Amino acid sequence: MSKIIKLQTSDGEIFDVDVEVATCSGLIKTMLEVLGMDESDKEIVSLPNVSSAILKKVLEWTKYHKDNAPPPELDEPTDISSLEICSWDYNFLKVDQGTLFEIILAANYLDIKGLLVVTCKTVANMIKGKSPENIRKTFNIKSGFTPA
Amino acid sequence: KNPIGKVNEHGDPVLKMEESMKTEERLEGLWSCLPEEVIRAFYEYLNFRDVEAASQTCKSWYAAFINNSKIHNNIEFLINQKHSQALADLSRYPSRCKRIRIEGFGWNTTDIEWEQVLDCWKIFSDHVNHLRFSKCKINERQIENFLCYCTSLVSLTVDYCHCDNGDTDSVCDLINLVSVTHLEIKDSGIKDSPYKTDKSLIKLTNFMPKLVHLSLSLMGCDYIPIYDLEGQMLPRPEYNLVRIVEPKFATIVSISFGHNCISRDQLVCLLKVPDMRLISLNLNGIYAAEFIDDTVINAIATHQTEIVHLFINRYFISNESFNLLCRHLEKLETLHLYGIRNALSRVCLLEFLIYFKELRTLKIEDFGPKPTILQRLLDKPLDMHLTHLDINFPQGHVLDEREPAFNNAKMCLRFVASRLLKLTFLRLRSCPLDNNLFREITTNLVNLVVLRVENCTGFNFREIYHYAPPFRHLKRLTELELSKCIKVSDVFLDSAFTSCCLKKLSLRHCIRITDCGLVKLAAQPESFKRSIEELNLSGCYQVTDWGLSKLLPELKRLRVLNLKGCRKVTSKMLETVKTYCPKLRHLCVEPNSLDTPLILDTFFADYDF
Repeated sequence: MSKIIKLQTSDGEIFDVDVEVATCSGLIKTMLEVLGMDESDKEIVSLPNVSSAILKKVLEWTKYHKDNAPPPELDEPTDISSLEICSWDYNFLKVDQGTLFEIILAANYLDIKGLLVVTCKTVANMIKGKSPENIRKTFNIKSGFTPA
Repeated sequence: KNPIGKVNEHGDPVLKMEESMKTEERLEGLWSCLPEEVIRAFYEYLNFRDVEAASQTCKSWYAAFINNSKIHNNIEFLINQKHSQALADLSRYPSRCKRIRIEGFGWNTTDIEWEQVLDCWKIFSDHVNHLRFSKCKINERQIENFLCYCTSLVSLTVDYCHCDNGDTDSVCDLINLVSVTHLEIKDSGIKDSPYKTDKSLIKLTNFMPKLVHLSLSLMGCDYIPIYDLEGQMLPRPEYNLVRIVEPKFATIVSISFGHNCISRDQLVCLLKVPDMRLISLNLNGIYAAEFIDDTVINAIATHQTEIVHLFINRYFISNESFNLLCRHLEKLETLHLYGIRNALSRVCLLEFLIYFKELRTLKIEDFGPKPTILQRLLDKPLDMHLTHLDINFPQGHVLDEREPAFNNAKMCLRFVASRLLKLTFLRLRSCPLDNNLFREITTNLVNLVVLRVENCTGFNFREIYHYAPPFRHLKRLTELELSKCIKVSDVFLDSAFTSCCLKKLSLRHCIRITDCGLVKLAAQPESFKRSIEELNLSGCYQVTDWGLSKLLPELKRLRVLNLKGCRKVTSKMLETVKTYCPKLRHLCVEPNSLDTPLILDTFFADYDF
């Protein structure tokens, strides 16, 4: 029977999460190491920067990758610069830009390397081969900036 | 104006976007508010042109570009005749040019073009850390022209560069090269003159007192054999490599002399250079008159005890010197021992290998014949950390059961299956592998990520997996190869790949595989069909268009398909590929086998080949 940790999101919802899943996050892992496992049992870890909708998505991702596709260990050097992502991730990230944006921020805040990599690759795919003007359009960036 | 709204006590934007995401206007400016490190993370996956374009969209994206040394360290800028515009582009961001590759220059470059290139070069050469010349026709003086402006060079690579004659009169002062730690030279030099090449190499390295890694490979490989009047082959030109690694190079820790002409005496001299403590030594493919023998091994064992990675092939060594090696090289992690030449008095490597406590990667031919020792090892517990193993038993697949070598090889494999439980990579070539051994391997070695079985003809899956799917214990397996395992037939594909997410599957030269097998493959569980990215069916000559038309629509993620030597496959298959494999990037076929090569040409233009 694995341990459960309680995570509270910015909008107050509390999630019961398997410690093994939660420690995919570098932030929570460090937190648990500092606090010690036993104390964290009773306490609620608050995540003021993450909303419940996004945490749900993030947990969905971590659970899937914990069970189904553990990242391959170093054997043959993989090409990290490749923009390929697996089909599950591709479908998972078929979301509106706002959600994608929030997932990126959450992955960065919670320090989940794998999730940050796939989201960055998704964004890189959106940037690739476009002119500055087109990139602005894609991401709704206000025009009027010219680099010095 | 902060489009996100609230800010928490650290000044970070608070994410409360659920309702605010509804409208387009709210989205405006959102992406400009990302933390700089995240924008930088995007840039890591883009090439220079895209990064440049993205950086011009807004202030924060520009800042992430300008304040970032890491992405520029990782991008290798390519400069060749087609992309000479790149030079002008680069000179606009001089401090960003850390890693430069100059390719294909000098073949018909005019003097004016050279001048232009050098003019641009002067602007940013100060910042270059990694410089690589590749496939250039470039002489010493021209290289020196480039080098003399570099003040912070860390690594220099020269590969496949040749020039017609050396320019020994050049008087360039290369004093700036003092920071170079990595020098790699591959198949380059002055045509037909190893002596001149030698001389310029010595000159170059003289300017590099802090060299750590030196790699000289394939030097002089373009020399065709020269025969004297009696038809005797004259010796290949020898490079005086030892002179390059004179005592002044006490700093060198890694040497790679692959595929060179270097004599045994030179090697021994080299290993005895006082104060030189190697960590990595690569002597693969040295084609001197003598093989690597006891003298060399003894020199390694006495003078170079710090070695962690050792690569040797074509060796001729005795039990005693091998014993010496394992008693002295306590830190060894990687060992490649290949091309054993004294087959008659083979060493029992396994007996010694267990003394290398830190060994992780091993590539060998056979463990050597000593059944009694093997038996003893099998009986006692053993702590080996080996994670990568590559064994080749020369002719092992054709051994007769009555030969002692047969049982011995089997015992070796049993040892592998029962003791080396940490293996993640296993490659077995020409092994007398039978059904039982195969089952033992797939049951015990649960950490395997890559399993390659080549030219093993003794197993057929018929009985082993009658009741349960094969590989069900290998949860982490992503690559499976069964090439030239001629007894593997459609029966094997009956059993489901349920538990592993295979990315690569190779059935190369499994000649019994037919369309029936492909249909079975198409009936595999969804998880298998969704994960497979590379499929190799080369040499499966019974496969036809019909089978492929059943299989390919199921494999949605397929990127690479190899159908070389599938004689019954025709150009109709291309239609199937076109319709059902949107992700396919590499398709390998034998054009002769297709009846309409014309269609092939036009069709292939859509893919990267």
